[in-house]
Amino acid sequence: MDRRPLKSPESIIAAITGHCNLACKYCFYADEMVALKDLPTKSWLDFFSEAKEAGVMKITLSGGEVFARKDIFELIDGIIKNKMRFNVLTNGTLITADFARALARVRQRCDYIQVSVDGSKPETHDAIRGAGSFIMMLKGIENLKKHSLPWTVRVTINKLNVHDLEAILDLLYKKLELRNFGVNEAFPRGAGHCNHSSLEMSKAERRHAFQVMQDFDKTHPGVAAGAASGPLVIANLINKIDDARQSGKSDFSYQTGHLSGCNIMWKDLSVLHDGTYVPCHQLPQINLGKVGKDSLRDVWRNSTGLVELRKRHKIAISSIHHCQKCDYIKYCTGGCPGVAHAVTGDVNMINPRDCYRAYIGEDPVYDY
Amino acid sequence: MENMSDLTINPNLQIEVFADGSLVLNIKTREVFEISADESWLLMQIKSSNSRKNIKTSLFDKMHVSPSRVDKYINRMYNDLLKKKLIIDRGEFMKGEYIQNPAVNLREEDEDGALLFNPDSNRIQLLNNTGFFIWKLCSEGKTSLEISEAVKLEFSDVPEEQVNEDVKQFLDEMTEIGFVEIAKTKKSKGV
Repeated sequence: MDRRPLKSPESIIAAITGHCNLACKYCFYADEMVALKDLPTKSWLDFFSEAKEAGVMKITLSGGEVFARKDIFELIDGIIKNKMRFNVLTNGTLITADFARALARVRQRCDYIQVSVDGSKPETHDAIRGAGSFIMMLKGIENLKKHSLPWTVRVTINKLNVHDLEAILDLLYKKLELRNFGVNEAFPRGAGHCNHSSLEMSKAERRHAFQVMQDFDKTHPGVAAGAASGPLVIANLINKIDDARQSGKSDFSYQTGHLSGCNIMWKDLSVLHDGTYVPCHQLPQINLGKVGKDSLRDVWRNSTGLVELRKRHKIAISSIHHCQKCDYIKYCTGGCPGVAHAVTGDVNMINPRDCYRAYIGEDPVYDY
Repeated sequence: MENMSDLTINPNLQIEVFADGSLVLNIKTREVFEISADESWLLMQIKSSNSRKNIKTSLFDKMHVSPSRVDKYINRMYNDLLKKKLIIDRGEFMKGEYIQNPAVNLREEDEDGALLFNPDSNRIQLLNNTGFFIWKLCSEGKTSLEISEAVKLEFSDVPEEQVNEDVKQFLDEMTEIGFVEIAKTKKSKGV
């Protein structure tokens, strides 16, 4: 039976600004993206109204830096007025006591405020995010905690902080007493693409990250589960494949063997800060239309880019030239199409970073 | 709040009693409340259907203050417990008009029913055709009786004697999980 998309997206990830007070080395939202112009307040408010009519339930605000927008609380109020919930992705450095107090006022409608933490100390964090950012970020977190706001953290692992990973986990769990966070890997897109050579982890460093995350997960089950991809997810997948190969048994879903590793095109939609609809911020090259010009419902149901992307899960991995001789297709779902495109230039390709064959050194091209 | 027989404890509560109060979990809405030792005691009195007179006497013995202060104190606690939906005033429930919670959004509707979203509780509610019909009636504010009559007209295949009970139960649940509210009305609706 053909899979049918929901009548409207459950949630929308809206990059409300391209401006940021920091210049992080791996930011995927950089380079040509910054040249685009932010939508004005009224356009976002009209868009939130349209989202409500379509039945959207949540808006995740991202950027750029969300709190760099002076009208941020007007926008949040617009989301609330339109019967939706909101989340915030932020670098945390602009969360003053006043901002935290204002956020506390709308706490009931907020699922989480996610702060980026990339080091356990200024030397590591600031090397990636800029001088002074570590202390400002900690102050921001302190303000969130003071007002009992639902906050979490995303750690983006790369060559510049992988050596600090254990101490970062210690900072989050012990010092900041955080009980749910996510750890991801830097994407080779935007600034992350430009700085690729200084950010890309070596094979040994990636394995170190896998080991650290698995060790942490064993002693603190579920705490670092707040990421849909990243070292822990990949490490667990690799173990699962190892076990399946040894036992000859497999409890993998029926979707394996096809490019089914991403479901975002079935439930969420993203918007760039200039109002361009895209399937995901990791796929900014797929232009689906424009806020204010194209209807949200129409974009969701009929835009060529999304319709094509939804066919991806039917693509047999055995039909991909690169994968034809792979013995592990029966375990594979292809991973993130955004990274697949960033690394290989083809969205209908497997993500080599999630590839088991590449991990065990049998892939003819990739070696992760 | 004189008619104690109309008050009943919310059946969806899990209560953990401590020396200085209780922790109350509403298993339907997943809300957790901390209540004081006196509120916890009052909850237990309502649960065991103790009369207002007995409650007042016990509290008077305990507090050693004037009867009017005891009255005020009890009323304040009743109102707090009602506000948190830990107790239900069934008398008010029968008299009131049901209205949609204005925060709730209709996410989807089709020939089989609808899907509602309550952004305050972050909860989704799936409705069948009858439920959705009732939900739409609540946009105008209707009593339980008015809704039952409208359901009988719209869905003639439903056994008439069962409609009142089913409608009441549905409205009870929808109110409990915060998708519908009860508006006090001055209009006589003849319930």
